[in-house]
Amino acid sequence: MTDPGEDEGMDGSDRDGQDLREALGRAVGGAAPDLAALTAGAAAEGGAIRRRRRIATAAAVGALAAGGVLLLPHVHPSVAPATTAAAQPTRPAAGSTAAGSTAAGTVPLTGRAAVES
Amino acid sequence: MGSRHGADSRREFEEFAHTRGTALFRTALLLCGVWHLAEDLTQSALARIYSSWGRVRRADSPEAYARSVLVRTYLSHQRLRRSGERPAIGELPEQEATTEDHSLRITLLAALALLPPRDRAVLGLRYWEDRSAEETAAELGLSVGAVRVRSLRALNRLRAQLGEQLAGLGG
Repeated sequence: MTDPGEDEGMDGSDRDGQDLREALGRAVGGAAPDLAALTAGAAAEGGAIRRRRRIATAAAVGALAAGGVLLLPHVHPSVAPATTAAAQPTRPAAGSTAAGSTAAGTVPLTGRAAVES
Repeated sequence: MGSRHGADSRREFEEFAHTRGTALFRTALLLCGVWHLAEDLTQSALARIYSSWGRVRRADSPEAYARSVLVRTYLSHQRLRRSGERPAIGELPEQEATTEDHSLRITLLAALALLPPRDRAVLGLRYWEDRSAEETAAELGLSVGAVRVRSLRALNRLRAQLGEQLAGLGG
């Protein structure tokens, strides 16, 4: 069952819609911008957007590449080992301490004990 | 090779802009109600389209894509400004319009300017661009029900503002 009030409302809005459609056509149907200027301006602005996008992409790729080289030094052999070694955590270098001159499992003597031995 | 491709791409875009630019501008004028702002909106929308032209030309309907970009540009512009700019009567050129149509334009744009931006977009898409409620909903990211409600509400407000003039506006 249809509500007659709703029918009336829909008919009214349909009529209003049709009136509005015709009114809009008459109101702006003849409006004409300077298309040549609009197109030239849009092409210039669009070109600038493209350039900015390209620069941003290149910067992002560069940053990613630089980060990758630091994190994975073996991937890029041209990077000096000293550079990557400096970034690694410190640990005793082999042969640089007294441990290098003692037998395995022994503790190096210090102080008076070392003098007397 | 690259520059020839660029020149071809630009020529295609210019053809598109010349074909669709006027219709986009008229939609923009209905949306914002101000001539120079409508020109700015149209140019911004076309610029975005040009910046992604490779993708746009492969779209099913570049026209629908362009209209969608224009409406989004307008809504985003309105969100940023958060101000209700009204049609500046003195700034509306009378290009190819009779005095009667000019005053009709002023009356109608002034009434449309009192509506919320999204309601204006709904009316513009439905009654100027002749989009269905479903298409309008898809373009604005609204539900179909919301489009119908906004449309009815906006029409009622227009009728309340313009009274019997609305019937007379259609000619």
